[in-house]
Amino acid sequence: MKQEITTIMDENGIKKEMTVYVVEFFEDNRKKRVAFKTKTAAQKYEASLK
Amino acid sequence: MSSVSSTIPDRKFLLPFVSRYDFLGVADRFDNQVLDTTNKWTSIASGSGTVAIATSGGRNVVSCNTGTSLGSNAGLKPKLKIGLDGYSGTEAIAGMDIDVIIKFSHAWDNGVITDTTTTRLAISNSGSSMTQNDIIGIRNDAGVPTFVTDASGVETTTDISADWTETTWSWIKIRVLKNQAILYINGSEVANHITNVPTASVRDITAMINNSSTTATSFDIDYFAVTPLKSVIA
Repeated sequence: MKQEITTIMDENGIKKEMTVYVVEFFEDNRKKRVAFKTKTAAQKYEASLK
Repeated sequence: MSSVSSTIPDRKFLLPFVSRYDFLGVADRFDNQVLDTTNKWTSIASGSGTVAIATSGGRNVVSCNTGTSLGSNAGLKPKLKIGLDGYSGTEAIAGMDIDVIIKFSHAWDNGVITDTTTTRLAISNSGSSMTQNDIIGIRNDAGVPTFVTDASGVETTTDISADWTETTWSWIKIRVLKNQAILYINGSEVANHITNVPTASVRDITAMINNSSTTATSFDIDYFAVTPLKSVIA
């Protein structure tokens, strides 16, 4: 799991930065990335993959 | 289909979903920024709705006009926008299939996009970034075709570079269900996302297919179809 800064756009089209927690893994030999807003959710997801 | 011309070359696919579409367009060629009306075949509608072919407007529209604003219909790129906007059926809709047989002739920024924001159709053309929120689609991540679902700016992505070559004829299907989006390429499931899937009503989703923002771009569409799924598919 790693922490990243992503850019989102609000309802008015204004760009904002947001921290996300990304889990990377391979599924059927394809690289997959799943981002979460909270570290807890990312950790829970990561644990479910094991 | 009686008006289908024989002048379109290089057609590779038969219509695999002909018995179940609700909206269907066939064989529209975009050459640079304009719809190639000489070689355009025809567009037909069935089921409960209509498909309008026009050079500007909202959903269910082939749009290829020129302009300067990326956030409007007047983008600098050929594009196709389809959805269930014209669907008038009263049945509950559990999901939607978007089918398209397409070939890009030049570099692409973003391939097949389902845009759940009904008022903002723009997607970024600045390199690989796509800053718009609430997306289901394929984009170019620094040259890597990537299936992406994005809910409020938080993404799930799958590298599909081994599955898709955008410059060859391909049948792309995106099945949109509640909290799930599945990508099929040439009949094979290549990505299945159950995280970070937009939650907008299926009826509000617009599928947009476009090419690079540069002026010398084109793509061919052999068929496209939008099919509402009226019962839950396991």
